Amino acid sequence: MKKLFSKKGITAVIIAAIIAAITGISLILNSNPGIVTNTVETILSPIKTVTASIASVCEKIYGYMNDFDRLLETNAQLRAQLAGSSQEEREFAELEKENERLRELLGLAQRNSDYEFEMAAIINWSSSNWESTFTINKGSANSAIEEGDCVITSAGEVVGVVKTVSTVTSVCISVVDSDFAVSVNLNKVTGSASAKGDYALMKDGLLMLDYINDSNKVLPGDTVITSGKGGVFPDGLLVGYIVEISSDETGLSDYATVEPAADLDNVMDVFVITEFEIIE
Amino acid sequence: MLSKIRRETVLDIVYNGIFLLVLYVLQAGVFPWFAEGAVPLLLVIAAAGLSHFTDSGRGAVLGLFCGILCDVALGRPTIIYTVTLSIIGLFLGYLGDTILSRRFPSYLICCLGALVVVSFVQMFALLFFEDVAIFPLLITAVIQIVTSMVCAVLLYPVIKWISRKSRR
Repeated sequence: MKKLFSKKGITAVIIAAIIAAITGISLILNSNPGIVTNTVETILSPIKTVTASIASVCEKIYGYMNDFDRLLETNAQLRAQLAGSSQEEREFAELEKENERLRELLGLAQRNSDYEFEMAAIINWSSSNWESTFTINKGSANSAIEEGDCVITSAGEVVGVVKTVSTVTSVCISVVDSDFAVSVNLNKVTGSASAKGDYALMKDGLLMLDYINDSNKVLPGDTVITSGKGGVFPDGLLVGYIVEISSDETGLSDYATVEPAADLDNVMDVFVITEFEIIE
Repeated sequence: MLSKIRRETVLDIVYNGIFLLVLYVLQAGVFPWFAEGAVPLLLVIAAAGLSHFTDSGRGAVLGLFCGILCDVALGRPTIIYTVTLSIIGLFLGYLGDTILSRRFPSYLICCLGALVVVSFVQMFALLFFEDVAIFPLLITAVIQIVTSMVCAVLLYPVIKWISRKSRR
């Protein structure tokens, strides 16, 4: 009890009581915390600010430490979701394209019930500067493809013709290659003409049309379609469009340049017609 | 001693194999996408360049492999380039071993000669059997030779390095 009521202890209690009294009176009279509180607040203000800053930093560090694993996990989940969405989006786009191709092919097959197709993908274009050939991923072991079969797009546009068949791949010449030739009809002219690749035009991605019966009736933009004669190509396939009509060096006969209907720079998937009804 | 020789042989095959494979990928897969109509014949340069730095036997073998790859790259059955480049390899290997100095100018001459021969082989059928006018063929040949010669200059350090490794 003696220790409890020591001089220092009593003094402290008295000071506390005085401060409390001043503050209490100040609150009652002026509704403010009083001079003592204000003084203390003013003195401690910078310290409080520093403390608050330190606390804030500590809180951030704690939060960072505490949430790091959770954030990592969330980040991974979000990344996975994003990748999944992108993958789904790509797959969706691919499926949409394939759907469109198959619809077109279905239309082509319905219009030509005598056709038998092999679906193939172009896996390589020849790096030769002298020819325009490409390789497809179907050969004798995994398809019924034979030399001379016609290669078309799903829209029925002629891409080329099979040149050599290996076990799992086949090399095809494109419509602009100088070896390519097909008997064709023009939409406005009766009778047939011959569309063939030309070395000089090959560089521009064009082919030549000659033996035109009546060149006066041929105009730029006219469609060139296969006639079916010769038995290599079925009739009615779109070869291309007339670009311009010119006279040969002698001036005696005319020829036309034709732009292929198939977009050779971008075509990826093709169809090989392995069987069709030959027109005699 | 024997194991050292075998090790060096294996390393030679690995160096040359990787080099030819890279050139094949570039010629068949990369250049056609952005150099349509002016694709350099990297494998012909490799056949000529490597053969020039070696002897006839080794040159023929290198020419054979380059020829096979070249035929495949150009979508051809392995005939024309396989034979042509084997002969070129044999011939340039012999020249390199006897008459020609193994330096940059003679390397360039060998590459140019090989490219001219190959270009002639390429245009032969078009010129004589398909009746194509000679002028557009010559334009293609010149473009092909020019682009290939540029690549020959760029490939010289690599070819020389591989040849040095092979001759040790």
